Amino acid sequence: MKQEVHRRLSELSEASDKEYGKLIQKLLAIAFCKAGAVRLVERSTQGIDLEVSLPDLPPIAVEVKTTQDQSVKFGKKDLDGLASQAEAGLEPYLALLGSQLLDEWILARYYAGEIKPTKQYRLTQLRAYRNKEIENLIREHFDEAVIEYSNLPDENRQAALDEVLRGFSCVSIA
Amino acid sequence: MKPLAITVSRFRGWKSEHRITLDAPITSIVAENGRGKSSLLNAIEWCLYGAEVTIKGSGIDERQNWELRTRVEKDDSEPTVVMLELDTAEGSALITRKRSANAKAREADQFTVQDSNGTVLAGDSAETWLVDSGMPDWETYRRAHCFHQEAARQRVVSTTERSAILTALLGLDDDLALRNTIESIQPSKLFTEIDKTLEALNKEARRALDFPRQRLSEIENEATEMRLDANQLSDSNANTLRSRLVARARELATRLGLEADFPDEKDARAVRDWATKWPATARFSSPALVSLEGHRRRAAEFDQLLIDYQQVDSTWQEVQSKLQQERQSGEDEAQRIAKVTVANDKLTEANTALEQNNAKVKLLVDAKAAIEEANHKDECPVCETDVPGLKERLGVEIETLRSDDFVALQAAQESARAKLDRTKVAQDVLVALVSAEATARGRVDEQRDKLRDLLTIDESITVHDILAEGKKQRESIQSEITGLEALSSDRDQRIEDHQANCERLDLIEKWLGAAERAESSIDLSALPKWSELNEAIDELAGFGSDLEFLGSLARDIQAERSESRAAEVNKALGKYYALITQDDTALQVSVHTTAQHISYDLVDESGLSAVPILNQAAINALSLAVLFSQSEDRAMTGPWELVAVDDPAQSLDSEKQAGLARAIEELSNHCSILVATVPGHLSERLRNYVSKRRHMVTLGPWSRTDGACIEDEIDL
Repeated sequence: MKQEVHRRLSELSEASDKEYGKLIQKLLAIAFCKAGAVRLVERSTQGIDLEVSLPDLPPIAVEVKTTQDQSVKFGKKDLDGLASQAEAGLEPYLALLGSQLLDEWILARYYAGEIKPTKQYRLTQLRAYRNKEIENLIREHFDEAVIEYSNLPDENRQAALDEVLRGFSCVSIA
Repeated sequence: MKPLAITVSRFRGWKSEHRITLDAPITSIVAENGRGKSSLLNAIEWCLYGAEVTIKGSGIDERQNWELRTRVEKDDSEPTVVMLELDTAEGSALITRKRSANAKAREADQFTVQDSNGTVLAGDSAETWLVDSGMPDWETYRRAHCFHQEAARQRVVSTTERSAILTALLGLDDDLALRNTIESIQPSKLFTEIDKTLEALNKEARRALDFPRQRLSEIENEATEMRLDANQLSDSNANTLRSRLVARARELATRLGLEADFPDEKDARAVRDWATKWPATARFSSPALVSLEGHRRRAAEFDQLLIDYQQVDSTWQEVQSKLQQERQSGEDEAQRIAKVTVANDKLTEANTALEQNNAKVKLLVDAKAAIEEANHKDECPVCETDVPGLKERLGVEIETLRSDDFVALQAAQESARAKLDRTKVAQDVLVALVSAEATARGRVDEQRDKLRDLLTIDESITVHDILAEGKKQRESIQSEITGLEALSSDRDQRIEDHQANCERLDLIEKWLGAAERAESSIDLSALPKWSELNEAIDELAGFGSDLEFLGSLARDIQAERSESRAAEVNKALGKYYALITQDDTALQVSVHTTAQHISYDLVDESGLSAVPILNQAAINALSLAVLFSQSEDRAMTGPWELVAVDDPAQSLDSEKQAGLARAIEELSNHCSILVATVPGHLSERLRNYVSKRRHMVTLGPWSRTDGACIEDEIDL
């Protein structure tokens, strides 16, 4: 990612601590919107993090994970959620973002049985499942979103980003 | 594939060529220890696997220190040869391994196969034929097709060995091999290496990004020292500076009368190249300033002449003044000369008067002396006139002349001499002043001529005019010099300003370059090589994930097959163990499956590991039971149909040896079995209590001359 984006994300991570994952989820949602999503559901509490419909692509369900140590672990609930979204006709994805300068979003297609709950996965392992088309669609927009919206007030950061998301007509926040 | 016969020659204890048939379901080699029975079993292994048998640890000392020709005479030049005649699906074949007597340690054996068509294959082709015919590899062979008393305990007691043998027993060799192959690639290490690479790249990227930032910061510090604030570090300011540099240089060129080329101020590179050369051009190429040095030299010349002139003029005037004073204070030169003459005359007169007085005194003294001598008293000795009181009068006169007159005359002489001296001194002073005045005047004339030459003025100008003209011209030169020096100073100041501006421009350009580099390296993802690297990493990651998935799949399949095979294997294992031991303890294979590993063990009915509680005989029996179960299974599925057991009866009592004979008979229903044993209960049971066709070979005593020998050979 761009150094400016990396710097801002590092600052955001330091400032927001546990809230960081949710903020990144919302910034990713903004990136999807900027990329032309026609429908986007963003969930902050229960269920799969994002449901996105992009033009000319099958609708996708996205579980967002950020990591500081380049490895992730998935809860059974999250993977079950993705599996049920798959049954509902959405393509299930894991959206993964590391903390390194050269990290970009990895949109890894989830295949039930291949990625198992509670097992530690390195981001490197999950590169095998990436969908570069979607990654390319959102890359620039995510950078823009970070530069545009990462200067958030210390309080109500999530609310501020929700407000931004509400500005997109395709969005519904659950 | 089944061996029909073995032929050995010069192999370990076997010297001359011997052929032993192996085509019966049971072949027993009976001999006391040291007669060559184990060597026959070794010969089969060597013929099939060559040096591999010696390299890979088998747990058997005999094999660890393999020496083919231990007991053969050292001067025997015949090669070691072992031949195996085989019955294959395509017909009979002959495998031959030969090693010359003087072969070096690393020298390959001569390995040939003559197939059923009579074609002889050698070396790699022969090895390939063997593999293609389904011959198991050495590891499988040593675990599933042969038994050696030395390794019997290890086969069962070692957890790793036991698990491997049980894997083979379960028929899961291929699954294990697949898993081992996948796990040997170690996909996790692959991911670790990728992560290390990415981490190194991240470090390098951070360093690469930090470096221009640091450089920017350094340049900004330099800018502060140059009193350039951050706002001035801009492209527009650089353009302004370039314009200013060129404009000021043009002005200076005009002032200096320089005809110079100037760059397009918008061409940064051209401006930079020109700007470094401009100071030298401005400093040394100005026609206006070329005359400055000439003027300075002329001014210096003027100065020196004027100083010299003023000096000699001053001297002349001083001398003139003194001369005038001297003249005013006394006589002129003629008068002084006359005065000297008079003084000289007077001195001469005084001298003469004194000399006359002296002569008079002498005369009177002489007269007086003559009077006294002649005693004439008052008679004059000359005129002989009588003069009263002459002698006394002469004495008075002499006295007077000698005292008063003499003193008066002497004083007059001194006075005349002193006056002459004074007069002469006065004259000398005047003469010297006149001479000095002439010399000074000459010098003045000389300087005037020089000045005149320098001024190049006509002869009519007076001395004082020359001086005035000289001063005037000197002032004029000075005026020019002052003007040129002002121009030079202005030029130097402008060059200094130019250089300062160049330094500023240089710094701004450096900053702009560094800022561009810092900015341009931010988005590495835009670099084609980064995309290529990412593609490569993705491919590696895909490969690693595929391997992990395959490994996990292989584990799952192995675990599944383990469960399904266990019952069948347990049945065979139980059968052979019961046959050998007459013990109905239900020992069975237990499968332990974890996310990463599958291991096997032998457990009793309660599921506890059976091995730790068994004695040596039971372990031996269990080891044989495992081998026989495995051999039975492999005989049904694999192509090699011979099991070779070496000294299996050790530590077994007579009952268990009888049981072993029954087990061997049972196994011979499935494959051939070659048993090497010492004479005893087992050989007796095999000879007399077995109904299967069997070939019994008894070996005679070993001798140094003949080596091992066959004493008796019968088919029953």
